[in-house]
This record gives sequence, C-alpha cells and structure tokens, in this order.
Amino acid sequence: MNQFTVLVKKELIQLVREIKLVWFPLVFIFLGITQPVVSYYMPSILEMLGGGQGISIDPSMMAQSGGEVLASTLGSQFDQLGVMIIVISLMGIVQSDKASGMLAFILTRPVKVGSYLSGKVFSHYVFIAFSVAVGYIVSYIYTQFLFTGIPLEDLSIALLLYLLWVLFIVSFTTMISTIFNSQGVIALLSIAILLGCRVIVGLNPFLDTINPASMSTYGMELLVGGVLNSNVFWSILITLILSALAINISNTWISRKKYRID
Amino acid sequence: MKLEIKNVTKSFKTKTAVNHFSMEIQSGECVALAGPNGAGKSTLIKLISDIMNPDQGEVLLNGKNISKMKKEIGYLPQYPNFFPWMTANETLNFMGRLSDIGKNDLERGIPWVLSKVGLSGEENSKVGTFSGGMKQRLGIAQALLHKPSLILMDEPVSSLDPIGRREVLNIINEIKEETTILLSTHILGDAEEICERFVIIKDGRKIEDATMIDLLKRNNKDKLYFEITEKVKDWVREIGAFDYVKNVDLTGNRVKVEVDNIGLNKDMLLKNALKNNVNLVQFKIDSESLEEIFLKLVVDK
Amino acid sequence: MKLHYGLDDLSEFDIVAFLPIILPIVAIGLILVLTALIDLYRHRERRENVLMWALIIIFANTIGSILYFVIGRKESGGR
Ligand SMILES: Nc1ncnc2c1ncn2[C@@H]1O[C@H](COP(=O)(O)OP(=O)(O)OP(=O)(O)O)[C@@H](O)[C@H]1O
Ligand SMILES: [Mg+2]
Repeated sequence: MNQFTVLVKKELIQLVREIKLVWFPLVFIFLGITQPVVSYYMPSILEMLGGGQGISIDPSMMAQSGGEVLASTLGSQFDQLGVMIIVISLMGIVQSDKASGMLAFILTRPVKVGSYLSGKVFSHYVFIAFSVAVGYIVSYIYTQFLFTGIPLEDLSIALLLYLLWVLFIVSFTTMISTIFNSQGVIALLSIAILLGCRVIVGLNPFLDTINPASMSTYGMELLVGGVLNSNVFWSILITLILSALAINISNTWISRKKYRID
Repeated sequence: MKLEIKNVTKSFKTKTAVNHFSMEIQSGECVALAGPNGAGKSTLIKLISDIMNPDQGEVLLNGKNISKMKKEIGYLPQYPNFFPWMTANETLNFMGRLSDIGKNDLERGIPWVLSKVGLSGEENSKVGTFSGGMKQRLGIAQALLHKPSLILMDEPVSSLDPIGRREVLNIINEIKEETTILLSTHILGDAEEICERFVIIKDGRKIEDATMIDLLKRNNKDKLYFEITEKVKDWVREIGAFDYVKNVDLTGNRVKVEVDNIGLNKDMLLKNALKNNVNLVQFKIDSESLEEIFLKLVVDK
Repeated sequence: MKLHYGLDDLSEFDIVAFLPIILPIVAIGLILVLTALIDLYRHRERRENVLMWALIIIFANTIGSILYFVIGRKESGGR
C-alpha cells in the first residue's frame, strides 16, 4: 500500500510537471462546448449557405432538446476525438517505462507489479475521469443555456455510466501499452479496437450487453429519452470484469517478464 | 551474506547469453566479472538482480530466492536512466520510498549518500540536465541508499572519461569497505584496483575464477625485455642460439626474450649485450599485465 | 427561445447575448495556445522540430496546440 501511494504521487507530480493538468481538462472543456454551440448556430449557418440554393431544412431536426445535445457531446465529441486523445495521451503509460528501463529499474526494488500497475491506472483514471466530468458539466451548462435543462438524476447517471466506459478505455490502453513496444502500434491498435467497439453498438443486443462501449450509448439514451436500458446492470458488471481482466493480463505479462528488456 | 548462483542459463531467441553459470560470493568480497562485449555480463547481472528470470537454475541470497530479497540488493544498471523531470533529491526520495525506507531515515540518508558520491549541491537540479558521469553517480547513490548487503554494478566506469572514472573508482573503493560488491567490466585495469577476485566470462560460460595474485603468478613466464636503438639482427640471432634462451621475439626496436631462469640468465644476457656494444635504451624484466592475461584467456579458450 | 434564424437575422446577432457564449471558447483556445507556446519555449533545447511546432500551434491554434500536447511533447535525444 505504501508503494502504491508513492507511485500514485509520482504520477500526479508528473501530470503537473508535464502540464497535462492544464491542457487535458481544457481539451475536454473545449470538446464539451463545441457540440452545444455548433448545434445552436448550425441551423442559421446552414440556412445562410443553403438558402440561396433552395435547400430546405427540416425544422424538427433543428429543434433539439438539451438531452439530445448533451448526448451528442458524448457520442460525437468525447467518443471520437475524446477517445483518441485519451488513448494517445496514455499510449506510453507503461511503454515509456519499458523503453527507458525504468520499469525494470523500479522492479529491482521491493515493489509488487500490482502496486505499479494499480498506481498507474488509478492515478490516470481519476485524472481523466475528472477531466471528462468537467468537460461534461461545462457542456451541460451551455446546453441548458442554449437549449433545455436535463433532470439532475439523468445527468449524473449518464455521466457515471460514461465514466465506466472511460475506465475500460484506460485499462485497455494500459494493457496494450504493456504488451506492445511501439507507440504507433499501441495508439493505432487501441484506437481501432475501442472505436470499433463503439461503432458496433446497436448491431446485436447480446454484443451490446458485453460491449463496454454500450455504457456510452446507455448514457446517451438516458439523456435523450429518460429511460435506462434494461441490460444496464449486466453491462456494468461486464465492463468492470473486462477492465479488471485487462489490468490482470498486464500484471501477468510484467510478472512473467515477457516485456522486452534491452 | 552469501550469494549463490546455481547453474544458471538464459537464452534469447538466437543466442544463449548465460550458459550453465555457477558461482558463490561471500560476505565482504569484491568480485569483478570480466568479459568481452556480448559475453553475457549484463545478462548475468540482470538475472542476479531479478530483472530477468533464468531459463534454468536459480539465484539464492542467504539461501532464499533472490526475488524475495530485493531489499538486500542495490543495482546500478549499465546505462542508468531516471525520470528526467525529477530532481536528484526527488529521484532518491522516490527510489528510497520504493525500498521501504521511512521518511525520517530518508531525510538523513539522502544528503549522506549525495555527499558520498560527490553530488552535494546538485540535489535540486533536474536529472534530465545531468551528464553521464553525474547520472552514474546518482545511480550509485540510489544503489547505496537502502544500505544493501550486496551491490551489483554493471560497468560502473566504462562510459566515463578518465576523470570521472577516477572519481567513481574512488567512491567504489570506499563503499567496498562496507558491502559486498559484484561489478562487471571489460577493462581489467579498472577492476584491478578495487577487486581481488576475478571471474572471467565468455560466451556465457565461466572460464576463470581466481584471485588477481593467482592469475598473475600463474601466467608470468620468465621474460626479458630489451629496447635497442638500431637493429642489431646479428646479435639477436646470436642470443637465440644460447641454450638458456627459449624464445626470442623481435618487433621493431623491441626484443622479448624468454629464458630458463630469470635470476641467473638476466645478468649473463646483459653482459653479453655490453660486450657486443649493443646500444640499449631499456632493459627490464617483462611481466605480463592483467590486461594481456585477460586477452589471452578470452581469445584462446 | 428562438431556435433558428433567417439569413437577415444573422447579421443582427445580439452581440451581448453572443459574447458570453463565444468568449469562453476564445479564452480556452487562447490559454491552450499560450501554454503550448510557453511549454515549447521552455523545452526548446530538448525538443525536435521546434519551429515546425511553433508554426502548427500558431496557425492551427486550438487544434494545433492540442496536437502539440498530445504528440509533440516527446523528448528528443538522451537515452
Ligand atoms: N533482450 C535481448 N534479446 C536478445 N538478445 C539479447 C538480449 N540481451 C542480450 N542479448 C544477447 O546476449 C548476449 C549477451 O549480452 P550482454 O548484454 O549480457 O553482454 P555484455 O557482456 O553485457 O556485453 P557488453 O560488454 O557489450 O555490455 C549478446 O550477444 C546479446 O546480443
Ligand atoms: Mg553489458
């Protein structure tokens, strides 16, 4: 436990030194603002552009509710650029320690691999979850100002569901970063698989239940329609299990010293 | 303290880096692990420091598997690398806390260890700005901090300039009074100063394990060394015919003569040279350096 | 709340209502660009392609600085 605290503290100091503490939440705030503002002005811009050419715009399409707008913040901003930024900022989470020899070095001390990994995942997850939450809240403030409000309960449950999906993103990227040695491969593989998971949501109800990306769509459904999918309990359980599994695989991988040592 | 390396083997895809290697180190010893590039020194040290697992065999410290004894080991990598954004102080604090040293002990221990390795005054500089020699010293500081009973150093001086090398050798000389040391090197001259015992490794195998004195004694032949100004080939040919001369080796102005009994034959040969008016620049008993012995061992065996 | 505007309305945007919406965006973009530039300057000696990044940050401002933070903060040299 002591080592865990030391390692978490190290990660937090590193976040400060690398000024990630500043830019990362700002990026999510930026993504959060984009959706409501663009949705708000898009009709007039479209009309301005399209008016001359006689393109008519369906008025119902434009009359969005606050829930719909916030849902698209999750679905089109956070789930695309957001996921990519999370993954790319995490691709070196274990890989850079492997490459610099710090992982091997740290493990010559009486440190459990589990403390090392949980320190990494815990600190980065808490920080990323915080950034995502801040972006989400700012997005909501804009949404409520420009469109309509959303019941607080739906708002918070949707966020919590989304943060579970983020937990899986962080654990999964950590696993890929443990197994592979090239940052490019790690980023591409993680982004492809995670965005792949997100894209296949809705194809098949069973797949949806075991797909961590469903957490995001459950949250969106809740924001849009106010109803929670009946499978949500199983999905939460499976997302937690899959996240634990990813960390466990990383743990085994490092403990067996399968990572390359130069 | 007792370190036992029992029949350890480690193979990589195409190569066996350490091959059925065994040795024991007792408390207080200073052992130099010498071998040419690629001999398997770093691999062996990584096996001892539990960075890699052996394919076969085991490493025991005080009878227990090494992975349970990490607190007793200090490790200095061949290329010590730290987080560049940390200061020297933070680095030692981090490594020290990971070694389970309490906060109060660290407050006293860090200045002590920094002054020992000559880094006092740099405690708040970023490690990223350190030169190779400073990193090496920080690495040593880190290896000493938790007062381990065995210190493993992978080529502690090979990458340093002559001044840095001198300084680091002095540091090691000092710490060897207190702990057991195993260091690897491919420059025997460095190890000669600090270690009494030499283990020579080649292609992953142990080919020699002896004290320095033994090595020198075993390998010293009776040889005389002349340096002459002009080639006096006739004279060289002449002495080659003496029955107490076993071998004559002439390269440029240098002549190496191997004789039966150095005590008796040295004066005879010198007299002969004076009688023949050979212009002598140097005349001495030629003792083989450790470096030459090492080269012979590594190339021949 | 009025949800859509005609072409004529576009020019008559209520500046006072418009500012609180746009100002934070501009501010965030500015902070991002500034932190990126300051960071780049402070680490100019240990970064690759300093000039290229400076141009990217300035010309592609918000996106450029995000790009810089995400992939441009790699240390060059040193082992
Ligand atoms: N991670 C690895 N993967 C594959 N081969 C390796 C690896 N590490 C070492 N080797 C090989 O094992 C052999 C021994 O390497 P090692 O680093 O132990 O040598 P060394 O004696 O330390 O050499 P040097 O004096 O250059 O440091 C070399 O032939 C090397 O190519
Ligand atoms: Mg080596």
